[in-house]
Amino acid sequence: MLLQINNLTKYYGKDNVTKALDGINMSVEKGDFIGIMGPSGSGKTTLLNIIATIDKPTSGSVLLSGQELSKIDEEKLSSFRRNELGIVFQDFNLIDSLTVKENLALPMVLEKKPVSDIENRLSEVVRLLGIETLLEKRPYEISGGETQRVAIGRAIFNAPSLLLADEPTGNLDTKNSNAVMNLFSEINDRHGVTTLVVTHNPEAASYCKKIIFIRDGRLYNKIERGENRKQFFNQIMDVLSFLSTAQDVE
Amino acid sequence: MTFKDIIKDEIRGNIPTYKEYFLATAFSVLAVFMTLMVIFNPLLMLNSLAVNFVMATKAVLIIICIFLVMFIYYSQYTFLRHRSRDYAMFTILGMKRSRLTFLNFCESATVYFAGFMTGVLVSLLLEKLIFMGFAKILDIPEFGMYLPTKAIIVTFIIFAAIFAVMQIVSCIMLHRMDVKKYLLFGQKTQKMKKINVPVAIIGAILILGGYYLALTVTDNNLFQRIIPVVLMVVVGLYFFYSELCPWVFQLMEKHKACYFKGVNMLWISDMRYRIKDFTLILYLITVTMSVGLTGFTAVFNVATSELADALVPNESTLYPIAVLKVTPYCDTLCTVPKIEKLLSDEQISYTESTVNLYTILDKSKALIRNSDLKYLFDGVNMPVMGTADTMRLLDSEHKMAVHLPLRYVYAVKDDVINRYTEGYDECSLTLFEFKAPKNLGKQLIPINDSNDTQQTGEMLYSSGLFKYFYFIMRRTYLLLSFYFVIVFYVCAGCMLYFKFYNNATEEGAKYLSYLKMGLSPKEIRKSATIQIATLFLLPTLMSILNAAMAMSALLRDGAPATFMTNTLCIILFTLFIQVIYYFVIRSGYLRKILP
Repeated sequence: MLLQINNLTKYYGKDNVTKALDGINMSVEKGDFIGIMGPSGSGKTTLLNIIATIDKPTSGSVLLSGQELSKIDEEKLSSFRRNELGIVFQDFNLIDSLTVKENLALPMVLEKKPVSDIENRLSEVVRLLGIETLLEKRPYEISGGETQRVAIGRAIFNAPSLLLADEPTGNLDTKNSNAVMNLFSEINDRHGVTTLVVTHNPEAASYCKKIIFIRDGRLYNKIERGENRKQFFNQIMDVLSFLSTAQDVE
Repeated sequence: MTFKDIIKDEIRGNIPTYKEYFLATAFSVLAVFMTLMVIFNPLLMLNSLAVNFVMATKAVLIIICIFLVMFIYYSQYTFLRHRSRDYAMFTILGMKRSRLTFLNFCESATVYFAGFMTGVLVSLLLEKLIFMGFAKILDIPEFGMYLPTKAIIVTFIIFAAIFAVMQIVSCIMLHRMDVKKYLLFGQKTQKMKKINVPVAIIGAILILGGYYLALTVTDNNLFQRIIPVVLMVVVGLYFFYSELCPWVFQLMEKHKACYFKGVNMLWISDMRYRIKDFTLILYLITVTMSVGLTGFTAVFNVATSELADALVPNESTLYPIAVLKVTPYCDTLCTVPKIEKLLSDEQISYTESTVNLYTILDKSKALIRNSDLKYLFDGVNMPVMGTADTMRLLDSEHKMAVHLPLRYVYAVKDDVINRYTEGYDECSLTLFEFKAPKNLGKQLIPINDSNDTQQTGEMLYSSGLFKYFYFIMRRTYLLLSFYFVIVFYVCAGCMLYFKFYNNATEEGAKYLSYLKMGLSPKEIRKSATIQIATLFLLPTLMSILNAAMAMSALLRDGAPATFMTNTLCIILFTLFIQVIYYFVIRSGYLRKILP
């Protein structure tokens, strides 16, 4: 078991009136590729932020490789986040003052690894991403799809145990969305990187092996993909339409 | 809701946005108004010794105004940038451009006027505090109160003109506004600007060339070199910030072992990226601080050079105090008893002698009886000039005996005087002979001030008093230089604060994304601290370098050793103040980017 979430709650507001997460229990096995879906405000990004140690839960626990995240010392948290987690954001969060190459290498540079190790890892990641021609460019000089590829490259640069992505295709067109999700699949399949993706996009979600649906801060449903992605896509659509119908009736 | 209500609500609701523009205006007003208060200070103008200083101040005012126009323009631009999204929204909602311009005018005018009033009030307070405080510290008389009406009017005219120009620029900008561009103002990625290496090299050559010319200046070419050196350094400095610094950071990026280590990559690349954005403000600050520091160091050195011996009693003066009663308006002597009392109070034993003098022609010359002369100066080897009957006794070249305003005193045979003095104005000269352990100039000032020459016809002359006036003049220079260095540094400090405050608002989002990426707050703080330190201390170091070069050009050979010590002390003190200010700015900045 790589990730174990027990009775996780997150309340916001002055008197904890807004329930973002309300007793979430879930587990993620090593090598899983899970999509988290749900309507806006359902709590999926909050869940991802808590796993990413960016946010703290009100109660409950999140264990990564048996280590409880909320108990990690503030000073060690950044190092933990850098080494154990890879995070991909909707708005890429690449540093404009750095070149693509420098953006990719940043996690290892911050760990003060030798330049030769950085160069070796860089060539591996660049080969995987197929971005050899972009290395000396800056983020504002490349397209959205390319930028997200670089962001994924940076997230996996330190070979994290868990790759987290928050709406990674949110700012991309269909072609680039598919390319990015293919990349996630490839990283998961070939390199065994456990991946959790929060997305609105059913087509993007269909690349995942499992989908967890959240509604009003609670787990609503869970589906698994078979061999056929198209069939899985239809399954996702069915759950989503059921979710929205249920919401309309309420 | 009427348009007036919208304007009121907009002004009320955007007060935090106005903060920077308000501060920029207030401090600009402060700089100009405080300078003008010195120029128009009638009490200072009465002090003829400070007139030269006031002349120099007028030149400084022109420099201040040029740089403040740039600064206000910069802050106005920033203000417009902050408001651009709202203005674009108003346009989308159907507000006419003319109304938008009027809204902008109302907002700007309110902030500008508030800034103006604050600047004037703070200046009045600060001026009084500086003059009072430093007059006490420097042990010189205070200038007294005066209402600087002229200074207020001139400051108002200057700032009204600047405001009018800024409004015309804003009006044009708003009429040509591209709504889409305005909506994205501040969100757009700032691209890495290309470095112009030849210009960077020219910048380095200009600065180094200017320094070389300053270091090799001689008495013969000093005045010919001042303008070229200033121009070379002023132009070179701009290229230094705009091209040379980014180039240096670019070269640092190529040193992989250093660049690919910890947060070095972050701060070096960020610095290369940001320094271009900081160019104008760093340039303005460097020039402002250089002018302030050079002026202050020069005045301080000159003013203190002769202070050391200004209060030493003049041992060579035979009669340290003399009272000349020119015309017999008043029968009783008023000044002499006061001096007698002073000498008794100071427990100084003295001898007092009174003789008659007879003024002739334009009263700049006088006659003295030979017997009186012998009585006063027995045994003193006086210079003898003229005929046998007359003797030039006390002229401006020979101050050894007594200080008198009379250009010549001619010693004449007693019987000649007795025969011809009828009809001449008779003067009495009372001389005090004593050896004092200290200069009595300061104690003589109240006696001299209380003496109404028109009423009593008495004039007090003392080498000590002259020396003390000289001492006050030097210290007045010092006071004014302290005053201006404070004004300059307050302005430079304000510009820095303005830029960092404004920058921290924009950089906050970037540092938040760094946190999300896995950077620790410690790493972020380290990267930000190095950047702030570089951006903060660079203008300080450059201004110190400029001042040091200017001082070496002005002092050259033969300058007293104290000049070097003074200059070094001022530089160290400046650094100390700047380092304290740096810590203040840094703590505020870090709090803002990492709440």
